[in-house]
Amino acid sequence: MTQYATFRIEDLMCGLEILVVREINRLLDITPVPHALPHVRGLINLRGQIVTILDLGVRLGFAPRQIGNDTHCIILRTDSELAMVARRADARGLHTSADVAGLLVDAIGDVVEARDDQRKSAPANLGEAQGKFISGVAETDSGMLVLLSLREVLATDN
Amino acid sequence: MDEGIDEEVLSEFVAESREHLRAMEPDLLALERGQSSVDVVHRVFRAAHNIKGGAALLGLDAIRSMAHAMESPLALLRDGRLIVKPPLMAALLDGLDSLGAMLSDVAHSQTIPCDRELEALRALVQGHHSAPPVRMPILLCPPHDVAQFARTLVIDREQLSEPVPPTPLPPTRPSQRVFEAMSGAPAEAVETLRVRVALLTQLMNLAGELVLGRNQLLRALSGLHRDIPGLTPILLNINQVTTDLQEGILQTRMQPVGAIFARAPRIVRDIAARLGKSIHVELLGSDVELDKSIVECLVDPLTHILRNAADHGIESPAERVKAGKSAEATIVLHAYHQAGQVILRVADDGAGIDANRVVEHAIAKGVITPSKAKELSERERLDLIFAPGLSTARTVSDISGRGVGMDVVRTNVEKLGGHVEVDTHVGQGTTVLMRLPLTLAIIPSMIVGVCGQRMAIPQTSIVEFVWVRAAEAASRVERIHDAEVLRLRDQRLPLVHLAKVLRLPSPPSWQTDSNVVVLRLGPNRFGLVVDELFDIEEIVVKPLSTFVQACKCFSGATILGDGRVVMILDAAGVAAQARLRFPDLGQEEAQRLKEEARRAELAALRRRSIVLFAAAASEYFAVAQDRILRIERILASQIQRVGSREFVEYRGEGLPLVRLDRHLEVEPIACDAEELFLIIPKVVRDGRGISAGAGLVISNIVDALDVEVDLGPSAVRGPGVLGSSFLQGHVTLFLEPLELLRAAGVIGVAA
Repeated sequence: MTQYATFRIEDLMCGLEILVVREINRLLDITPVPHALPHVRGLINLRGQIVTILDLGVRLGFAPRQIGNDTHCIILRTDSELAMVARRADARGLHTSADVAGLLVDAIGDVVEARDDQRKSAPANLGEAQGKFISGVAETDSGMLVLLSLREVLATDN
Repeated sequence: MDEGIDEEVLSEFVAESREHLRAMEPDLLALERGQSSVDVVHRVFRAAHNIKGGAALLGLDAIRSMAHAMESPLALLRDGRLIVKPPLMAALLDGLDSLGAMLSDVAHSQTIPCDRELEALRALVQGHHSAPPVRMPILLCPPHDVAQFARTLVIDREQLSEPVPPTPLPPTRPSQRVFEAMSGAPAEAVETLRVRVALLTQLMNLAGELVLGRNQLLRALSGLHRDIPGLTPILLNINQVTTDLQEGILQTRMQPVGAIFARAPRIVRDIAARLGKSIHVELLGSDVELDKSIVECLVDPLTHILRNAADHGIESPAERVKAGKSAEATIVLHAYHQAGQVILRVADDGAGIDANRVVEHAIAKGVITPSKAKELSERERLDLIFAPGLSTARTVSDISGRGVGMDVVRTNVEKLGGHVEVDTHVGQGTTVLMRLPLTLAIIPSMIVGVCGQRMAIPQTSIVEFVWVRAAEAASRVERIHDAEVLRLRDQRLPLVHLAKVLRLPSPPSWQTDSNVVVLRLGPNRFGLVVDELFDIEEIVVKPLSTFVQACKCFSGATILGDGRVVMILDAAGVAAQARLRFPDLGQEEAQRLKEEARRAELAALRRRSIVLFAAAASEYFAVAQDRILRIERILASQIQRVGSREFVEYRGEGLPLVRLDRHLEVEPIACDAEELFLIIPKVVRDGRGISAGAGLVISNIVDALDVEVDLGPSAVRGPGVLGSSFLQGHVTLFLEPLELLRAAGVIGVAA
């Protein structure tokens, strides 16, 4: 069984392995970074640490997120933090990034469980642009969950 | 190595031995130069001996053997049984390097190859082992140390006769007091403690956070001073203590640049020896301090610059003599403070850099196309030495010219938030100037606003601020196609609008009063137009994450006192983004230097003794007394005219006269004046004697006085006008007489 933190982007329910999530925040002031990649929303001050916020909506081919009452920020563990919290992470091929990043999402859902054999590859009719960032889907009790490929989402060369 | 050895003891040994090595090197170099003295030999010997003793105690055999091998010839040298010869010094210096290599990896010191070095050292002492025992050397130490010193010598003698001692030596620390007594240092040394750098770094980061926390606290409580009795003194106290704490922690990380300067003589010596050159290295300002991390990052750039100077810059002795220079070349390393920055200057008196050769090489290496090379200005041609993959060495040697060159120097220095400038004169030498911030951790920065966003500009990049009123904009800002330039004191400053560079939505420019921040970029300047100027804040630089590293306009980010994240602007990045190309600034540079000289002049004039005089009745002028050679009284009838020129006979020669009204918009002297005065300024000719060049005609001397004035802009413009001030109830025009004489054409420009 794997636990997933779920969240919503537009009408997609997405999930990330709970292990990669450091914390979930309401939004703080975001300082935009001119000339940055389109999906880089800006920088925030997280208790003295500067964290880069990425707009997951832009990554998945939607418009930039409108910031509302439900908008949240999922702060991810860095690679070195992952290595510290769990040896399992490596075995499962979980990777994030060297620097701290946060993902901007429309709303936060529950933590759900799914059996590993319920993971399936992404549907073939997903567009190429979107498909790259989606590693697969998982059937859960509360419906289908879109699983993200963090490696692609956090890559800085595309 | 013995597993049981305490880590701490080991690291203590390494640190101490490193210090010994550092102390030995300059001494060995001094010996090589023939500056031999009993003290120096003793000092080197004792250092080698201490390393040997420590290594033996810790069972570090390789280090012990090497130290021992060095010690033997040193002992013979001390006793006068060997004399200083190049092979001896080379072997000792090689031994020193081997020791350094072993100490940098103590755990594997056994595996470092050093047979050649050992062999060379042992060969030197061959035939001396069977010689009579060591003579008591002439000692220059106080009597109470003699016994102790003698004991060391006994041990030495034993070791000399037995190349490998069977038992480890007791730890002997005999020399500290002798050393201090000899070197004249105070016996009571300041107590010190070794601290891990990582701990210091952590403390510094915490102090940075504390400063931010304090700023936030002060802001949050600023409205409550009346409501909470006693709050003000508490906050003031916390404020002061935080500042002191931060400064103290920063202090602990400061290191004298001497730490890296000390390597220079050795680097240069090795190259000079190999190339048959003779180079003297002069070190100035070794005690100037910089943050440890900056000092460390400077090692490579400085080494590179020195190698370049010694290898390419300086000519062979024969060439130097042919060029009329002394056979021995000089490289001067100079560190000094200037305007909150530290300047490191490396100047050689070598052949200089030939810009033509730089261009030829750049073309040959494909760095630049021949057609493009033709368009380059003089400065841009020279700047090519900073291009990646370029070396001006005729042949690729093993010393330098391996394709990594000045580009690495520039990259490294700019990474530190500094600037590199090169100045060269063919035949006279090259100067490399590095401007560096005092510390990396906390840098004073100007917070500016653009389109509602705040950004920080490090103060080291800022030259000045200029306020352009909306009404003035039309007259001060000129347009050439899309490019805007600002008139600033006879200079034209290229302007860059920050909002446009960052592609932020901005209202049309110059509609309201604007702020221009003049930024320094190497030798060049440009103006950055911003919406607002806030305050200077001390900021803690945080590096950019990989997600935003591609944004070349920024060098980092920081958190301000109110908790907001702001980006730190990088002058070079902004200029590159705006596609600024700097033209040949030779002329403007000269203008700038003149401007600086003029400003210095003004500052000096402020405290000077002046002579106050009048030309026409109501107009007052002032000239600094030390600019005046003589003041003469003449009669109007003495003036002789040749065409429009006027002369007066002065000491048997015709002295040209200069009338103020011919060159400045001032009233002429009344024609009926019978008695006139001449102010004869000092003119220095050919850099030598002082002579009379011409006379300024005036009507009356009013006073001679010491004044302190602030010069304001003058309504009267013209050559030699420094400014005006209100003196003795009159608006007084301050003059620089030489410029007036130059404008009048009575003395040469060079005078």
